[in-house]
Amino acid sequence: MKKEKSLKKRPKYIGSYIVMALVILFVFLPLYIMLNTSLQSESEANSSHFHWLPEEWSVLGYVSVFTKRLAGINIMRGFFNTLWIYLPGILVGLYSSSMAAFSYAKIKFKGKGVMFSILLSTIMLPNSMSTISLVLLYDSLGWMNTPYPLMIPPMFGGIGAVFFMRQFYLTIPEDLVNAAKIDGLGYFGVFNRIILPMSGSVLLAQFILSFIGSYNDYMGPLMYCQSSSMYTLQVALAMFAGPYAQNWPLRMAGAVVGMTPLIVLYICCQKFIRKGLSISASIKG
Amino acid sequence: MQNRTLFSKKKNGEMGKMNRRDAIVGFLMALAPFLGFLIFSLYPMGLSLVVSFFDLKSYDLSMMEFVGWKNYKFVFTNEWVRRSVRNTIEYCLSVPINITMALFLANLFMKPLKGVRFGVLIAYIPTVCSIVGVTLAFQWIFEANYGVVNTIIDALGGKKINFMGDSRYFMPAVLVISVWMKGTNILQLQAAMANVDQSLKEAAQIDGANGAQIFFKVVMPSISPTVFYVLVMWLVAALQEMTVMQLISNNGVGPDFKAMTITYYIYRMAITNNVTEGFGRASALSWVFAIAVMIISRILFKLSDKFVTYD
Repeated sequence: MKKEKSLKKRPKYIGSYIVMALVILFVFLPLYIMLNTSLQSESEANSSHFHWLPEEWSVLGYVSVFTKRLAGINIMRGFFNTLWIYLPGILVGLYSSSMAAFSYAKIKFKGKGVMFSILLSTIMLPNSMSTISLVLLYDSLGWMNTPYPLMIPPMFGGIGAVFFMRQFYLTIPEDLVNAAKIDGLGYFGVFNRIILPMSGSVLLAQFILSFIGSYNDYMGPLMYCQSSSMYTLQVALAMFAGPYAQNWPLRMAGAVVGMTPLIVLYICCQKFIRKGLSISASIKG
Repeated sequence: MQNRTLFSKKKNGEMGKMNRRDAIVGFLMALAPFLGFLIFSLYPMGLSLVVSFFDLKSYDLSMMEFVGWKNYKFVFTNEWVRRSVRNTIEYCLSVPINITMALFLANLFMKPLKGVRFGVLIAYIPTVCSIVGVTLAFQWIFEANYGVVNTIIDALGGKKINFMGDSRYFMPAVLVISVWMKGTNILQLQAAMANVDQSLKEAAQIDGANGAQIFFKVVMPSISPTVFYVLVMWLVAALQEMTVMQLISNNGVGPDFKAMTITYYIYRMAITNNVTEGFGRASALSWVFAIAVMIISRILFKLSDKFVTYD
């Protein structure tokens, strides 16, 4: 029965296949052009003919990216800056978000509804109101040009993460929590000893989402962390623009190096990421 | 929507029975994100409201000088503000394009095609790409002399276009970047389409409906809440776009001021041109803008009752 159907529909699906191929091409093309140019010599890139494959292969762009100090910083240093500046905030924030999410999902306390609806309403709030004056706040705290503006605020936990994990904790049976409580654990103990160990996959999904966001963050470090020794990978990449304006192989090599970790991460755990994204996307947009 | 039940759930007798200590623990456990919101969102918002009535041309709050409504007068009469509003609206053209493309793709990937999983895998890559890298790539693609597009134009015998330096072509080029990055963000729409009642689709198919008819008469009505939600979220995000503009203009203003969207202008007034413009004007503009955005999204949600079907 099904086979017959698909046979009948075949002519229609040919069109769909063509469209799908075009879509894949549309996504691939800029990435391919980037990779292609990054492997060309500077003179070949800046010639009036476009070559779909490098005529003279050159890894000079990559060598410069990995060894030279560009815009005052080496790109590998930028990569490590990204890691050590953001990871503490992500990890601590993961703990505070999941703890709050558990509380919102399973514990009754006064003011819960109000607190939760306030958090809910902030999602639609345009953050342009606070980004600028955060500079003033950080400056008065003495945090400007230190990693703290990128490290401390995420430690309080993200609103998106709270919603995401609350969805998961709502599915945990009430009996499990109650049984643990009868055994003499407080809610804090229940969370740490029972709930946290069983939410590994959700925590990992949220961790990856936060990591993608932080890794790609650009305006934050640009505004709050302007000293070149603290440039994150993204800021370092953007800073090539000035001094190496016409060295396209170098700039493309930088872009490839900057984008590859996340693309590899995405392809390796795509199912996982997409599942996490589809839940949190409905929250964060 | 599902949260509504949460608030109305328990308001009566059970509260009294509950353990006081548990309630305190629960409150403390939930406190961190709320504190974060108070310190890093609400306080700066209040601060920026205060600053909007002052002149502040440094980062030092003690240098503030009260100027009354002057900054708001500036916002409503200044020529550059008006142009930044226009640029922002032009950039928002990306939203209908992106959502049409995302709907089209999501529908395409629902079909029982071979290799559809690979297609989805590839289509979603732009979403994890860093905006810095993507902008770099497109700056090269649209480069004035040797960029790919111009070498193709040249080979076809056309006249080269300076996309990044010509005010007529600047915004269309930016829109292409936006479509590449966001038009491929099909997750939510795909999830919604997967929940469409299959028997309805099959019934329509048996009745002889074609693909387009099924899409508009069966699929669209049942996913309209999601489509609408995505539309509003993307519009609010597009209204606030500045990263692409900052990057593609190399922290400049773009050809004929074209890169200047409202939020980018706010950023430039407060940070880049701190000495000449300062935080006062930037804060006034950001408050006026934020209120406008909130009004727009409120109106859209009100309007939604007319064409969104919730069942």
